[in-house]
Amino acid sequence: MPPQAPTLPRQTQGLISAAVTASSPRCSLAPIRGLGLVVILLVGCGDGSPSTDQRQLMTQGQEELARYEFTRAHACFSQVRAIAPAHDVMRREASLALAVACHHWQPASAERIAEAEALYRELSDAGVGDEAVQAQLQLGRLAELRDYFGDREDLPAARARYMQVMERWPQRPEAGEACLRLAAAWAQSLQREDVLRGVAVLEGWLDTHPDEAKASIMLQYLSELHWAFLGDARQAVDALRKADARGFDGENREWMFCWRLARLSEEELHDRDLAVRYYRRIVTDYPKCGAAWEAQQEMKRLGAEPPPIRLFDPASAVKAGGKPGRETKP
Amino acid sequence: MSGDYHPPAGWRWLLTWNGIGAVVVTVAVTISLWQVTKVRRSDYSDQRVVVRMLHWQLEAGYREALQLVIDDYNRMMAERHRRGEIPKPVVVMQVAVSEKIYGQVVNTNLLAREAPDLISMGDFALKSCGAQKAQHFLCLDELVRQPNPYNAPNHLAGADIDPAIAAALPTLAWRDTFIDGMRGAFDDDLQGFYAIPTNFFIPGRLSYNKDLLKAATGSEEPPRTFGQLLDICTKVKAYGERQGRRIVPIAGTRANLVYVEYYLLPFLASYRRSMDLNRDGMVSPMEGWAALGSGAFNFHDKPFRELAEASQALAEQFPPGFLALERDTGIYLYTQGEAAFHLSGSWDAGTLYHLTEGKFRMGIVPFPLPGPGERWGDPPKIAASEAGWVGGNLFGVYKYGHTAEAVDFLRFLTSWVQNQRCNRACDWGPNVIGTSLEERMQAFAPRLDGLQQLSFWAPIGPIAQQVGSIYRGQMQALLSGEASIDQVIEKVMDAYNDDAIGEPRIWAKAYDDQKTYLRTIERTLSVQALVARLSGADRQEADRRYRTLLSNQVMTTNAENLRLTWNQTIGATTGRSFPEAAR
Amino acid sequence: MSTVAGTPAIALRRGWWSRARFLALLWLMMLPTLAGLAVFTYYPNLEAVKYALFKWDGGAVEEYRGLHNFAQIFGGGDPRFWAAFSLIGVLLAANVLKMWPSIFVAIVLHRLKSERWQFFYRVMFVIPMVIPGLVALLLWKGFYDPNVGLFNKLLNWTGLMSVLDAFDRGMPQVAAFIATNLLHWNGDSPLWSLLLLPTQLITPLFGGAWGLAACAVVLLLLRDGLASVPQRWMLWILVLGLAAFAWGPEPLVLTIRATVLLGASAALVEWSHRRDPLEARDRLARLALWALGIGLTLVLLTKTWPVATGAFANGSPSWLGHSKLVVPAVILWGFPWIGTVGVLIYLAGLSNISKEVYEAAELDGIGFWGKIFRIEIPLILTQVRINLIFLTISTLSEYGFFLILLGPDGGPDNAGLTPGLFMYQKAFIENEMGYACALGMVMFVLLLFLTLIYQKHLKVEK
Repeated sequence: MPPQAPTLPRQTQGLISAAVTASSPRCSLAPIRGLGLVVILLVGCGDGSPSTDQRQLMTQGQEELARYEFTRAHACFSQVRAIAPAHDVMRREASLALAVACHHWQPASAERIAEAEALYRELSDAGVGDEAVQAQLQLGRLAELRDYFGDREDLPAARARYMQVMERWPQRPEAGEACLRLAAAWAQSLQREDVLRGVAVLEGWLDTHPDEAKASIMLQYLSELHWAFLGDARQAVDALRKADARGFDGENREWMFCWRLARLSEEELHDRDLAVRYYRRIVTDYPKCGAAWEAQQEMKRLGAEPPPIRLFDPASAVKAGGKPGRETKP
Repeated sequence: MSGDYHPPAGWRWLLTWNGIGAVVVTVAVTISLWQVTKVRRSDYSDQRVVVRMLHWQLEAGYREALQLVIDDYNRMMAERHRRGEIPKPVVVMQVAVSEKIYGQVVNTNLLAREAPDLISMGDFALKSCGAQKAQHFLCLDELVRQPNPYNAPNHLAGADIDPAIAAALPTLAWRDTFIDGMRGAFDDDLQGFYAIPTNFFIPGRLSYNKDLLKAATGSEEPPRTFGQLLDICTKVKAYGERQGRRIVPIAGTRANLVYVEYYLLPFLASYRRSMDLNRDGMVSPMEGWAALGSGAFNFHDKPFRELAEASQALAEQFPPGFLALERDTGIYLYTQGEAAFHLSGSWDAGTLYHLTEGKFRMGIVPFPLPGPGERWGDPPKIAASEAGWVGGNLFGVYKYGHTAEAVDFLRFLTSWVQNQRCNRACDWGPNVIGTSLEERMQAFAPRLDGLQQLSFWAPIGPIAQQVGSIYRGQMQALLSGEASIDQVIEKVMDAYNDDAIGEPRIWAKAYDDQKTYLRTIERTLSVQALVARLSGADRQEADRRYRTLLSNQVMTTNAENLRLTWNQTIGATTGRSFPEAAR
Repeated sequence: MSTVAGTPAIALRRGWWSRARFLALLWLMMLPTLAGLAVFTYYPNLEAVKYALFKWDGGAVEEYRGLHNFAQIFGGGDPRFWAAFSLIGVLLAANVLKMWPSIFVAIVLHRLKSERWQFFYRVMFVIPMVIPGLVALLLWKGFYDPNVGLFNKLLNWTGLMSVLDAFDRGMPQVAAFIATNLLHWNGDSPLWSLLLLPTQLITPLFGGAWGLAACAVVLLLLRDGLASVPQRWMLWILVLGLAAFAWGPEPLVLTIRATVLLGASAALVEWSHRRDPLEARDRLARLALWALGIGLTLVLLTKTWPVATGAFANGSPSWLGHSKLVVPAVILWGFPWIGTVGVLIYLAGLSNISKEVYEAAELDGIGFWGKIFRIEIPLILTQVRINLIFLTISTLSEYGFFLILLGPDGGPDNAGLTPGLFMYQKAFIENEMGYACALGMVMFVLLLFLTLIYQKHLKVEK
């Protein structure tokens, strides 16, 4: 018996027949045309074209940047740059924002970093406004950090940039950050001479800028350099105490600085009283940090009577007038 | 053979199989569409504000307890709308989904920009990193520094509350009304608050069957030390044999392995000072690895051997083959009176009380540690402090939803009265200051005494990588009786000394991860600073966050602190050079 | 004429515009499904390909790394990943064996004369499909419970537990004996020298049982005779490769042994072809299979049960809690291994075999078993291939099963660590999602390679 030609199930035959019937001129294609139109509309529909108003574009770009949508932010700020006059403030702002978008584009690439670098250079060379300072600082960051896989860190270039910020704009807040970055850029080599240079940079800055807003951070970092890198406990303790006098900078980390002060005081400086003082601070000021009980034990070991741990002290809250977020200091 | 097929014309086509199928599909689609539009009309109605609250706590008790608070709030809002205080009534509704799909549900909704207004911060990738958390969730910094209006005196009227706390609550910052000061909700990467905790969980408690203890030992006193625990277990086993019943001392299962790690800190505490190289009170994972690599820590030394022996002794009280048993089996054994003890935390307590009601009396005590004079009792073992336990069941506010209403409900939920009420109703731990647990849950009150919870032993965490996996596998073999302590140590050290998966890989990866992490912080710093500048937002707040992020970043010295640690420890003792990560 | 019965031919004979409209309509109808497939299936997989080139933690860290991840995988960066394939090999071999009950059941169903009973049994086999996989998993977990599980109770009740205990004590001794005396040259046992003479030939000549297996593979390849010089050279290289695998890096010894092996094999082949060309192929194949069988059996006996577990002595072994019992438990899972889908697929294949073939076979005197191995199985090789492909894919990529049963580390002593579970560890414990994607790509290519082999070699010879 010869092999039979394959036959489709009756249902499928019916479907195909119905499809063919529907496609014949006698059958109205309106519903199908409608479906196709819907599909085309859906496929062809996209975001509306961005506004040509500069301020609106800047606002839109800023919102996209806040959402870390760098592609869209790039589009908005590029448009502003194209529209705004050459020396306009808005153009400078857009240039900086565009540079930031390129700088932190994900995934990072050499091309985007190069674009960011060019924009930063343009702003820095112009030397006008806040943007110039920011740009110079960011050029240092570009040099110092590894921005993409295969990127090389250029510490000498980074240091030079930070120095320029400190020298050209010594009164700007960015100068303080540049000083901090410079010290870290020196310390990265782990060579003693370089670390000492970093220490000198920070100490020099603090001497000449007594009102530096980032002084606490600088002092905290100085302490780190002195102890971890140079093994100098006394200088580390001094730096941290100065930071303490100004108020530590670091949410939820204050107790760690106190702990370090206490341990270094006791073990390296053999200053029992200072150690006890800082252990006491942990118990009274940071009872929720989890180390309060240990601090109490340390105090007992050092022959001091520890205060009790109170997770909440109503008296202190009332005394402070119920102001939010304040912790009492001795 | 069939000839040409001609479908019936007109309405008769509906009676064919194709027609019936088409009708069924059409009806089903129509019903679905109607349901979807009905829900959307309800959720997105112009006539009212619907605040959706998404979480995955499906266990009995929590949803009902949360609904009590929600119902109160909805009534209050309806009344306020009636009085004309608010333009539209606000209605809160909870949406609970299974934990298994929770991540997908949240991710999908976030990406579609249609997320619920309140989202429980569970295990979904988008929230896990700083930048994307800031992208979708509202920063609550300003809000948590203001008082909670639902702690005002009129809301506290009639509550059994300490007068001093009642006097302070109305003016205390919302943040300071929590036991932990909202430490657990603080995002280190973003240096801000992006979620509110609504209760706390305490793990590490031992539930015991008072009646069984009495029958087996003559006393219903629970064990206070590890030695007493083992002694009672021996008597329970003997009792079971005398009775001809299958009774296991501890209803341990694979899920309880984590409690064996509870003993890590007490047994290895002698290392905490020497391992804390930077004297900050914490032993970081890399400090732990540095200790292992330099020989400052050795598995063969007494502390780890004692830990392994004690863990083995504990596991011997578990049912045979416990590694094959699931958590539910453990609960079953205990609640059916076939086990004297059960290891768990506060989240199971309510269930256990409910299931043992009418069967036997239940008590709860902390995990016992070896006491003085007992085996492993020297040096004295001290448990970890629970003062640092942070609030749990965090809810974040979706940035693009009904933020004001969502925040308002969160304030209501975490007010003193409602926080205590909700958590007591489901036997969970309230986390507002001055609240208290139910009498039977008093054992779960955080214990202040104890050692600092350290991110201590490296083989547990993700940094441990394959060595950690081998360590955990070997510990399972040890606890099941298959392997000896020496075999475990040998295999773990073989893995650690392997160039491919061991020490070089761990350090190289940590260095590489640190570099990438710093780059992420850089991104956050730049973007947040620029946005704050362009938008003219509160500079003080923005500057504060910027300074803290800057401080965190600078202190690592661009990840070279790892190289420094290596040089000062492993490099100094062994002469090995720092393993470079791939460039 | 009409290509599809019942379709109006007039529509197909019109010009390109009608055809285009007709096809457009069909495309439109398929569009929702295609769109769903593209968005929910292909797009995520393409994203996985993309992220395989990245360092990606599933969140903010997204750094392009090119082929670095693959360099690490293939450059010895993760030996445990490759080691996990040995477990897969065992499971795959076991799964191939576990295919056969379904085949036999399908054959039995096919042979049923009564259509009514055939229909009844088909329904009976389909009904268990409604049970969700997770429920079946939990049921079997219950079976394996060491204390109250049905499996241990059955073993104790039938007395098989004591048999297993005896094996547990005896098999390690057998393995030790084989390893010491049969697979290694042992010049210190003159008393056994006569008995061991045949086996002493194995190690010096073949380097062990693996060498014997390698020799068998060569014979299988040579069974059609040495046709041309290029083929001989190819075989020479192949033998050297197999010898290197079997014997280790000893160049001179390697060359001598390879020469002996090839020469002996060539001589055997030539002699066999000259003696009886018609039977040579089958004879050589049988010889090769015997050699392969002996070699592999010896190796399996030394590797399967080398150490006593002591798990059966108390009558309640923990099948999922003991590192040595996990793999047997997983293999035994699903007994009697009669899968509904498999049975139905094979049945569909068997129904295509026409009755005339059976009649011709009966005329030739082929019996019950002959029909199975000479007619039915060869003619359903397409279905077997399909099932084998699905089986390989699921075995290779499976991790959820092990994750639920054993945890993310693969249980005690990491006994149940599969490549899929390793990938899971990398993704969700070590937060290396990009690297996990790269691992997934490697497994995908491996699967593709295996599938191509099945496609090429497992087909019905029409």
